[in-house]
Amino acid sequence: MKYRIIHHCRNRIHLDIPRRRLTEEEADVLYYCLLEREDTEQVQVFARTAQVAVRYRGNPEALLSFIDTMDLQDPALKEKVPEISARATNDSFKEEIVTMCLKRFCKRFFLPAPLRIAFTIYDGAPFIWHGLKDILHRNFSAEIVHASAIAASLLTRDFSTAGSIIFLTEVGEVLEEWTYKKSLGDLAASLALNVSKVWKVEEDGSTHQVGISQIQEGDLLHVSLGSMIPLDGTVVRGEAMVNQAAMTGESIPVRKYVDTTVFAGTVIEEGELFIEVRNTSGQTRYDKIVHMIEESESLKSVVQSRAEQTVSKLIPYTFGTAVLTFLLTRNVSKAASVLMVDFSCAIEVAMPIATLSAMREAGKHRITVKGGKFLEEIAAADTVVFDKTGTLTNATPVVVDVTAMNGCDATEMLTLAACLEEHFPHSLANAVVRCAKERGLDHEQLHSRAEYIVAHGISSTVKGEKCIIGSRHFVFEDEACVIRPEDQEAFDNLASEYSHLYLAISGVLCAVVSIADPIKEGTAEVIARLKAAGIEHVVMVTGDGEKTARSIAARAGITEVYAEVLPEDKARYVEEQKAAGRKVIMIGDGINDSPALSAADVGIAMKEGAEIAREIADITLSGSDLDQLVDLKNMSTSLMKRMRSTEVMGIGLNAAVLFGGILGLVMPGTAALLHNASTILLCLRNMNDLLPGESHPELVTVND
Amino acid sequence: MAKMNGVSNLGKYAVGFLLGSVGLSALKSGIAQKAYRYLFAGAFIAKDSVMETVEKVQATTLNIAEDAKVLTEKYYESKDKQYEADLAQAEEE
Repeated sequence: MKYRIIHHCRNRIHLDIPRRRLTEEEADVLYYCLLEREDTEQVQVFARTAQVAVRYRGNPEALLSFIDTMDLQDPALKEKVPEISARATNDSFKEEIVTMCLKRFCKRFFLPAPLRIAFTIYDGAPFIWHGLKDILHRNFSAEIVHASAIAASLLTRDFSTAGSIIFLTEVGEVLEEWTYKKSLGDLAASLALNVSKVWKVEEDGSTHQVGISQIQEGDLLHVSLGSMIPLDGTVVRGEAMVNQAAMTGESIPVRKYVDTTVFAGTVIEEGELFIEVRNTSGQTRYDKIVHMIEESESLKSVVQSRAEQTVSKLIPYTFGTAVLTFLLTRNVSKAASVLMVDFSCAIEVAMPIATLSAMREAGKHRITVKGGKFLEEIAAADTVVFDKTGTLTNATPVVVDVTAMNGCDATEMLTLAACLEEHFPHSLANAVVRCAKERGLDHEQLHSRAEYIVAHGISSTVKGEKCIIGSRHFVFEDEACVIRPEDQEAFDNLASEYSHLYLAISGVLCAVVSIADPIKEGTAEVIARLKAAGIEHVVMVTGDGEKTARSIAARAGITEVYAEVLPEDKARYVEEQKAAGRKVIMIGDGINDSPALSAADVGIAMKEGAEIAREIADITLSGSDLDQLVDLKNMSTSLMKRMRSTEVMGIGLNAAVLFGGILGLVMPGTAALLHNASTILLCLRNMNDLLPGESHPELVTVND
Repeated sequence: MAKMNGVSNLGKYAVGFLLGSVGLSALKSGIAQKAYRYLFAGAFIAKDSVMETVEKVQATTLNIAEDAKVLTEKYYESKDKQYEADLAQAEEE
């Protein structure tokens, strides 16, 4: 594609493409392909005049040569355009506003008076009709107020005022819709970025991971235990119990077998399935997300509903004030000014925008929030319950120490342990194998067939001697191994906060491997910051042993610890806290945390954790560090402040206009302008980020 | 005066009659429809040209704003230099 540089200044370049204009499709391709590049910051496409302005980073040469080789008809480039182009939406809204202004201008200055009046009545009729309908339904809405203002102006033959009111109200509505759509679109785009990967089964039977967007109808997918079924489809092979709570709200799993239908978003609790895809997500995913956001009851926070109730109670008073103003002043214009003031607008439009924008901002910090309500709950929360494994720790245990006994060599024993353990996918086994690898210990296949005794350990034969490795119970009680008396002291001195694997050869204990699940870096600091942000109780609840739990808690700075807790007891603990009047956030990652996650006011799951936990949770954190939690808490607190100030400012600004109207300082047309301007200003303010600073890189709003 | 009124009333009737009989069918006629088509097309073209102008103005304004920012920065840079030079001079003295 050829171009001509019109303007080049600092890091911004303005190009003219030698075409008369670009089609919408071409403009989208150009916009999204340029925006996707690493070296661009901002892209503006002027489709009608075939121009593009790019703000770039660093050197423009690579960018310009890319544009030079670009072909707007290239299908590979076309794929980069999301299903719903935010650029096109913005453009169409811009055009709508300009068109409205043009029409208004033509009607005002070129139409003869009688036609102008006819048009005004024609434009005003729908407003009056909506108002009348609301009166009939006894629904005191802002529409009635608008309708009466327009009717009053028409009846007093003040057509230019009626025209102004209609025009400004319409423009205001479009602008509000625009800001709302933009917030919604930004949020949906940021959610669409978190694309999941699926296991696709090829025709030759091999499986590999691909992005969900590459799946087509008829493809075969493999979904394993604990994973979410990514797309609608039919079971071809396998059998499983599927939790359909996300769809039906029914928490008892349903049995799925060959030829049954499975639904996207449901989770396999037991078994595995091979699914033939029926509906690909491609066309509908974005829509689904938007739909989900809009439909989600949880979007509306309590603060917002309360504010809405307050303002709808104000409507009769606005009306009464208008009537009173008319009776006292006998001035229709003053009364109409009062009627132009609509308290609900700011709250009904600006508040959802604040919530949507907060959810988008959370997405920017790699936090997925499933509804605005949860941000409010977090702001109010005073108790955080942590799960230990995978939340406070990385859930990847490491070998801390190998204590050799019976005169054996520690390195040799580690090699042997790794050799025995390497065939078994258990987190402790993985730790041993990883440690051996890190220390550069090569182990050849020493042993004969290894036997795995579930939840106990491994038994095998090496050079004719029986080797066993496993839990204390397995080694000493089941297998009756002994400790040599001279090793007893070393054995008693083993640090009790670690997990231990016992290795015995020919019935004599030869080594103990101490394994720990280290705490995540910076956890203590996060806990301190959470307390500073208003969390009074920080609690750790874990299924692990008392000593391990205490040691981790001490390092994290948590004083309240409950160890050896069963999953249902975790949920019961959360319920107790709630009953005691506390607002509880539960953070966990495992299947065993799921009951507690759903019991808590807000359930937060770690993205690395089990799928079912993520499904049930209200919020997912995707960073491996817990810093996000502090961000989330601060963001929620600021959002609540913003909601309250929106209410105060919305009512305050409109009240000022109202008094201006009564005093005759503000004419009805101006009142409409001021009212709409205040709403738009509040909306724009609420679209800003809540947290200061740019600690995280801005995500560009492009689709995968 | 009365006669004048009579004439104008007669005129009004005539116009009304014409509008009622010929007028409506004229407004619906093929030629008229063709005229509307052109009129509307003209309106759309006019609108598009206004939109184009809006875009041109927007693009030009953005360029001017960018240049202005650079100028502003240069101004403050020169001020900073001047300030530092003055400071250095004051220290020398």
